[in-house]
Amino acid sequence: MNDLLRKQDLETNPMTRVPICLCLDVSGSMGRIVGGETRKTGRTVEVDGRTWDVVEGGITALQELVGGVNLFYDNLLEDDVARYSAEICIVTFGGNSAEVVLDFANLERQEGERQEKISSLQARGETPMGEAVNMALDCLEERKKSYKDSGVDYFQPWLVLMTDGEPNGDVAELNRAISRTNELANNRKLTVFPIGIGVEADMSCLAKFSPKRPPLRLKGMNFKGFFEWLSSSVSRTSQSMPGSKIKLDVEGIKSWGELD
Amino acid sequence: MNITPILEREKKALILPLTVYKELEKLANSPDYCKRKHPDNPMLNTLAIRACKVIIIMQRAHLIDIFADPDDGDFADNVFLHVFTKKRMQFDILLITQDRGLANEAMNLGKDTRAVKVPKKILVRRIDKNGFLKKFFDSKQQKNSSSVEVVSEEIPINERFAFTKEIVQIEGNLPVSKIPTAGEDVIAVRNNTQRQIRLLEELGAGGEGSVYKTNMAGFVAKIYKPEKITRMRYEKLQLMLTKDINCAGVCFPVALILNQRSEFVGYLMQAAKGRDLGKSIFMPMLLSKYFPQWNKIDTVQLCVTILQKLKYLHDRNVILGDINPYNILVVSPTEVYFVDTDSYQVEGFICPVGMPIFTAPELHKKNSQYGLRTLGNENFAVATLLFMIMLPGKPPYAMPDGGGIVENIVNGEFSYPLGELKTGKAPKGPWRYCWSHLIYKIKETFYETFWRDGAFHDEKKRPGSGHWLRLFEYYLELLKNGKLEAQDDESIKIFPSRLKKDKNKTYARCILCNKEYEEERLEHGICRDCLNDGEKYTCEKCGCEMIYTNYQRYIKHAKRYEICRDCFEKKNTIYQRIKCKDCGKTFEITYGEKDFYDSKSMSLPVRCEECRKKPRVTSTHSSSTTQRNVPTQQKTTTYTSPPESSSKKSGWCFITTAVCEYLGKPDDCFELTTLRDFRDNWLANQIGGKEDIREYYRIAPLIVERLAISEEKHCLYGRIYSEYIEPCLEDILHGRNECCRKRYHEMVDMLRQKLSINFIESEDHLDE
Repeated sequence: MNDLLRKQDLETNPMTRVPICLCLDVSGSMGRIVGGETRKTGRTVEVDGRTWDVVEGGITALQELVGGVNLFYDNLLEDDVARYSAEICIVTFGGNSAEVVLDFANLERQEGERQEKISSLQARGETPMGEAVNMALDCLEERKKSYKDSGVDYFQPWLVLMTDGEPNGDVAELNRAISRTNELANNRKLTVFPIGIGVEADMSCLAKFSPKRPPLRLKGMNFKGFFEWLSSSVSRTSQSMPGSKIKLDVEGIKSWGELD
Repeated sequence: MNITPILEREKKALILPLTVYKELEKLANSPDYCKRKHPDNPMLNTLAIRACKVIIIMQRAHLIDIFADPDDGDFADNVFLHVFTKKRMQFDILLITQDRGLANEAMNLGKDTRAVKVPKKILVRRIDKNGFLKKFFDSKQQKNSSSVEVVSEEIPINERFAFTKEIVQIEGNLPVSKIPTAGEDVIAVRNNTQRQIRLLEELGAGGEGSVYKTNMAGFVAKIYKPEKITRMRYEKLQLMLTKDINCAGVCFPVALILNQRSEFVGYLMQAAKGRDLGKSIFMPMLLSKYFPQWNKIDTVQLCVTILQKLKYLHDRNVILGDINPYNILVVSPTEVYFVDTDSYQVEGFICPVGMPIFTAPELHKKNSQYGLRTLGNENFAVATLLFMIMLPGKPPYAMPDGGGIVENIVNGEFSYPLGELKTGKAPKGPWRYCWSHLIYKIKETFYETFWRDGAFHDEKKRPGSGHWLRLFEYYLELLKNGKLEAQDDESIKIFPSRLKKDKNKTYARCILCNKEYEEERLEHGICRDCLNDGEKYTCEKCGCEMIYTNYQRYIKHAKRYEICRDCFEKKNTIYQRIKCKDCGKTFEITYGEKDFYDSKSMSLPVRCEECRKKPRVTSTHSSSTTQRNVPTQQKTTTYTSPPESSSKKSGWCFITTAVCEYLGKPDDCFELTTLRDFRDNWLANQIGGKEDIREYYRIAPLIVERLAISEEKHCLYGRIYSEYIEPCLEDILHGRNECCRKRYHEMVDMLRQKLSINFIESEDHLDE
């Protein structure tokens, strides 16, 4: 994207920003079928260290996730205030690496590439979670830096970490990511939302990323419920003034998440 | 300023009253007297001695006369007042003094025109730290507006709440058996008069309860949730109802609401309309959506309307407490509603909430819950609100590289400039322009209120709603009568596109866009934006978008390039290496040459250039046509000057190229083209010029590389552009070539220092 436009967007909008980084698991296991009609083909494959039946039809966990992320965007765009204050960046982990799928920008600016980028996500490969979280934290730092350079106010960023498995990237990277996240969260410089998808999500590892609040497991595949809740939390935050205490809608969590 | 030459030229002498000289003498002779009189000024004695010496010297030169008048009395101050009274009918009088007491007396004298119509003026000025004359802030107005204790005489007692220093604390809830909802009847009570009313549809719900339309036209009822029905709330509303607060747009409680069992459940108030400030004026994108016709007159009028209501409430000792953009609703610049009035502070009933950005520094420092607020506390919120209307949505303490907003409030880190007083940190974007176009008086008042050392920064000195109201009414008048617009047509815009015009500069309109600019910033009558803009077309080769800039067209009178730079560069890159049929040497065919042969439907040559030039001996079928037409080196005719690729020869513009790329400017933008021109046609011909260029070529790539990964890169790019490249361009345009050369040196030195680059390292780097 044009640097000049990005700069202009930053400077002309006086709103207090809510930077959010979605750090999403797109490893091979996210390609498993979680709903819809399927037909077995009789073939099997080895993915993510396990054997899987190959089927036709059905809806994958990743498709559900993509639907949720799009809903998140749509909800925010409908809200007059959130539309101009929320800013989203998406980092995925799968294949052999972590990747910045969408970098920070005004939501309206992202519209052009958002649909295309998100819907072309593919479930494959490993779960390099540590690498991805580090990349996400780098993006957030970078964005905070540009806010500061332009004299833009912002709320401390949010990190949404969603996985359906356990990290199998570099151990040192994972530990670095955990200690960075902890330090930021303990200093109130970051709000972390660790979310486990399905029964195989490593909740104890997710817990390490979040000193303040325990990780939650998504009820069923209720991505929709989670992203509805997240967007309304963003809307609420964006309407408050910087420095005010933000209260999350704890009651609302029950519809989509549960403690282990 | 030295006054001596003026006195000599005018053949006049200063008049010094004897009493003044005596006072000075006393100060000069007695350090003790100085200490007693002005304990805070240790230099007084020294200064007085110096003053006496100066007077004696001037007296000898007949530049000063010391006079004594028996009527003057013994005190120096009296002399002035006496002289003023005597002379005010004949002369305009200017009093320059640092003495606030004397200033006040003189100003009062100036105002006291009841008895006679005085044709002449008395002006009072002080000297600021830079030696300029400044107005005195009228301390009387200040006192009235900033202290709760002083109540306005005109407000009748039945409208005015008392002043108290005790917080009321009442515990417990009131019993309530039924919370009424839509369609039910309730009782509105005030001063023992009751009236049955019906709740109609619910208009909205919040944390405290719901608001219903009622069958009383123009009035709505707020019904609390059971847990919010406290004794404290009941007592507060009862107190609020004891005074006649009646101001259009202020939705103050007008009656209690009881349910059918006569239990307290809520209150009745004037109905509100409109959009809250937070989701309209404070968001530029929504401001233009909901109020597309608005200009500066409307936002200033809006301030006036809001201030009238604030003044009404403050005059009656009502403190809003939680002033914020979500409880002020706007229908039009003159129709505004204040809602959530039950949270206002009256007497000992506090307003327990507030938004941090509207909270005064002294309250942040206390770091406790909101207690009893003073009018001084409130006036901070008033100033913040006004600032955020004039710079729509931008909080006064947002600034680059600063801490958080709260930290900036506490430290009084206000970043906008006032005259020569600048921090250089005002936020980027349109905000500086909005600020620049405010009238001076308002800028000054904001500055003195928000800046930590400002004259009105302290809680007790902050200007109140009445003071602001006068300023904004004055501003409105200047806008309405067209005076400001006549000076500067951008003054009427909510978001001006440039700074306010400077009286000392001449302005002219760009011949292309017709916008006004400083004359010296126009090149042949064309502004920078237009120079970089131009006719859009596509590259003949690859189809990418290109711009035939107005700079090329009108200034350089250059032809339009047919192909883009990439394609042009590609022309000189190698397409194929061919072994010469005759001599066996390998020679190269560029893309440009290939295109040439293709266009003539010829196959590529099989002999090298040298062999082609030799007379053919062996060959039977000559291809002389081909030989003649072979372009030995494809040179373009479309570019007027050789477009050197930035990676090859343009070391001297390396850094500029990087900055322009960062700013999204095209490679043939005005800046780059001008600097290249300067390099090739001037610098290269100067003594040491070529060496300069070579030297930069060594270091510039490293600078650019380091710059790209520097943490400060955003800041540095901006700085390079505004502090070096722009001034360099100015230099070139005004023929100050040496200046430009020097400036460029400075820039490189600055960058080397910032990026910790030394020569040895740079050579190492090049060796690699």
